[in-house]
Formats: sequence, structure tokens, C-alpha cells
Amino acid sequence: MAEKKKPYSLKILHSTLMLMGFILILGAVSCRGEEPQLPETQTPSPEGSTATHFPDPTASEAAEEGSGQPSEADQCLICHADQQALENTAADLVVAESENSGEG
Amino acid sequence: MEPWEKALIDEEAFLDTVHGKISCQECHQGQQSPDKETAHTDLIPYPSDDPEAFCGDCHPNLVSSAANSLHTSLAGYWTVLESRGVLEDHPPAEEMFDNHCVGCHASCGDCHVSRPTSVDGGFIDGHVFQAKPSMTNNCIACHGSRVGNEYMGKHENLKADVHFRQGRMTCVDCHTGYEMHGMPANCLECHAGPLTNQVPPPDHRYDGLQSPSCESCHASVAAGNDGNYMHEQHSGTLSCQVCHSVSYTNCDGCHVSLSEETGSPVFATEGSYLGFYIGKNTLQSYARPYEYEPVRHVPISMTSFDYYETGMVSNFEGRETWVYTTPHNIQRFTPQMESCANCHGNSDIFLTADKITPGELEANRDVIVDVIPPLPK
Repeated sequence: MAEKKKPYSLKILHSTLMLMGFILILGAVSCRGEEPQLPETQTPSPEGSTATHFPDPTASEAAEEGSGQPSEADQCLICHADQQALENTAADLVVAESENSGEG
Repeated sequence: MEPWEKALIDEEAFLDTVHGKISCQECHQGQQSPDKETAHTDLIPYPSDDPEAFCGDCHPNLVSSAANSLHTSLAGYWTVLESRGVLEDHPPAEEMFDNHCVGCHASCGDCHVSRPTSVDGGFIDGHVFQAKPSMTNNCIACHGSRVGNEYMGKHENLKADVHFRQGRMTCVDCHTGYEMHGMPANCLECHAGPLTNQVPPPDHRYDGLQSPSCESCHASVAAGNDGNYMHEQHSGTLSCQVCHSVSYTNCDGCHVSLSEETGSPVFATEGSYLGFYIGKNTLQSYARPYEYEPVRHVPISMTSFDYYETGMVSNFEGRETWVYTTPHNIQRFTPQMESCANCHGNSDIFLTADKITPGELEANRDVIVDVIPPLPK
């Protein structure tokens, strides 16, 4: 009795399954021995994910403050922190007698 | 203070503070130059005169609420002036106000960096900002002739206030930042939320709740369970100062003008004297239920502002000249306490009609004590 032939569609299905199985085995073998890579954990910040996507306002303020800090060569400080310089440049002290009378 | 002393920065201390991290020019502008005149070109000596621009970025809540503070708004001045017929939109009145009243405005810097500009300024601590104002350099620099002298016992034979003498308390121990920054103190402490913003700003110093109040600290007295018979008998009828205050300064007849010599604003008062007078409470309310409280004569007169316009005080009877007062010379024991008869039946201690200048009788009709409380039977 002649052997019953498998239908053509079954042959294709069989081949496909074999191929997928082969790919899975190949993949498993290639990954063996590597540490699993977990996503890096981070301490949540008060700003949450916003800090990741937007400029950090604190950092921005700090940068601004930094740029606005009095430098050592700040002429304002050079004079106003120097008593002698202030004494030399101060206007004369005018002691005006009060023109008010009675208790205010 | 010497002129140099007023402007001397303590570099080491100041640069170590938060405000020291900001460049001088960021607040004061001016120019970078070793030459004083050039450096001071376009200088802003008092940045906090524009608090929104210079303080508001970091202190937005304080700046917005401080606009309602009486120190900022000076609303109390216009409240009493208008009640006496001096109108705000009247040019001579505005000129008078600008010359003689605006100087009492206090900016952020007047309390936290320097002595107030009205007393010629000068750094308190080398430009280091002070969170709490100094009693002597800031508060009393302006509130000196009455509050300061009374609180610190500067009058002969009158002791300093017990809160200062024994408690070593300074102004800010009672007058908190809430009050100073125009926040309705006790309301906010309990009623944080949207309704808080609906509390209208005060239009004079005794507007709204008592803040500070004696009862805030002396709670057992207010509740009437401190075992003191006098407290049980009198609380609610008498303000605390009726029994616990002593003589305070009263002033008469202040007149303002511009000096003929210098053109500067000047004033002259006709007299000042110590005295203690119990009057009727014209500000009776839930917060101030008392029938009696001490009254102080304020230096207004019918001709106070005649230099600017004759008859500017067009409604002299519109407000008392003997006003509700809370003297800052509180004592544990006072002459009033020595005997019931020191108050009951004693007309000397009450503001009776015979103590009032005839021209002021009508203005004070509500505060005059007509019937002296008799001794209880």
C-alpha cells in the first residue's frame, strides 16, 4: 500500500516550526554566561522625571548666582569693605541742628 | 553713625551669607570704577524701595503680602486723616503727606539691613541681612518717643515694661513676621487656605483681631481660671492695660511746615506730658469687647496742617483726640491695684470732661467717662 503523502501545507508548517526552534536555541546559546542587565536604579528626586526632561531650575539658579557672585576685583567691595577708603572719600559730616521743636 | 560707618561692609561675614552670593551691581547697579563718582552713577542706594523688582524673585510671598502691611501702605495715616476731613485726592493734603508722613514708610531694607532711612540709615551689621530686626536699631529708631521710651523705662520714676525688664523680650517676640509682613497673623495660623486671602488688609493699627494679644501668652487669664479674683471680675470689661499700665506720653498740638531756612519739613508740638487716663472704648468689637481702656492724647489740632491750607482739618470732630492706646509699659503691680478706691469713685484716673480742652469736647464725646464707676457695695 502506498504511503499516504503529507499535504503540502503541513510540510511548510513543519519547516517553519523547525526554523523557529533553531533560532530560539541559537539565541539562548548566544546569551548564556552574561549577567542580566537590569535598568539602573536611581533615588527618585523631588522633581521626579521632570528633572530628566527639563533644565534643572536649581542648577540654573546656581549658575546664575555663580555668574553674579562678587568677584575679588569687585570695585564696590574694594571700597566699601575698606574703612580707610570710605573715610577718605566720605562726604563731610554735617551735623544739622534739628529744626523741630517739642516731642515728635 | 559716621558717614563711613554707615556704608562699611563686613566683607568676610557678608560674603558668607546667601545675599553675599549676589553681586553688588545686581541690586545696586552703578558702575565698576575706582572713582567714587563714576561708580555711583545710576546707583540704586535702596533697592528694596522697589521690593517686587529686587526682593520678589526669592521672597515672592513676603513681598506680595507686605504690600498690605501698615509699614508699607501707611494706610493708618489716611484712615485718621480722612476721618478728620483731610482728603487723599486733595493736592495740598498730598503735599503735606509727602513731606511729613511718607518718611515713616519702611522698606524691606529698613528693617533687615539698615537703620530706617527716616533716621538717616546706616548698616546694622556690615550689610549682613538680619532675619529679625533689631529692637534698638530698627523698631525703636522710629517708634522711640512713645513706645521705645516707655518700654525701656526711659521716663523718670517709671520702670521699664516687665516684658523687657524681666523677660528681656524684644519687639519681635510679640510682633511677629506675620504681622510685620501684612499677614493677618492669627487667622493664617489656623485658617490656612483660600479664605485667608479674603481678609481685608488693616486700615489702622487696631483694625481686626488683637495681634499680638496679651492672651496669646497669658491664656489662663483669658480663660478666667488663673485663680485671680480681679481677673474674674474685670476681664472683658477692662482691657489688660487698664490695670497693668502706668503713665505714658501724651502730646498736644502738632503743627507741620517747611523750614524757612532750609526748606526741610519740620514740626512743632505744643507740649507733651505723662499721664494715665481711663476712657470709654470707642473700638468695641468681638476682639476688643472692653468697656474701658487707657486713652492717649494724640497731637492733632484744628490747625495742624494750616501751613499747607487753612482749614485742611475740616472735620475735627470726626475722630477723638484721646484715642485707644496700648502703652508698652506693662507692670505686674501698678497704683491702680493697690486699692479698689484707686479706680472706683476716683475721677482723677478717668478721662472726664473737665480734663478736655473745650474745643475738643465734641470730638471726644464718645470717650469721655460721664459716670465714675462707684465702689461696689
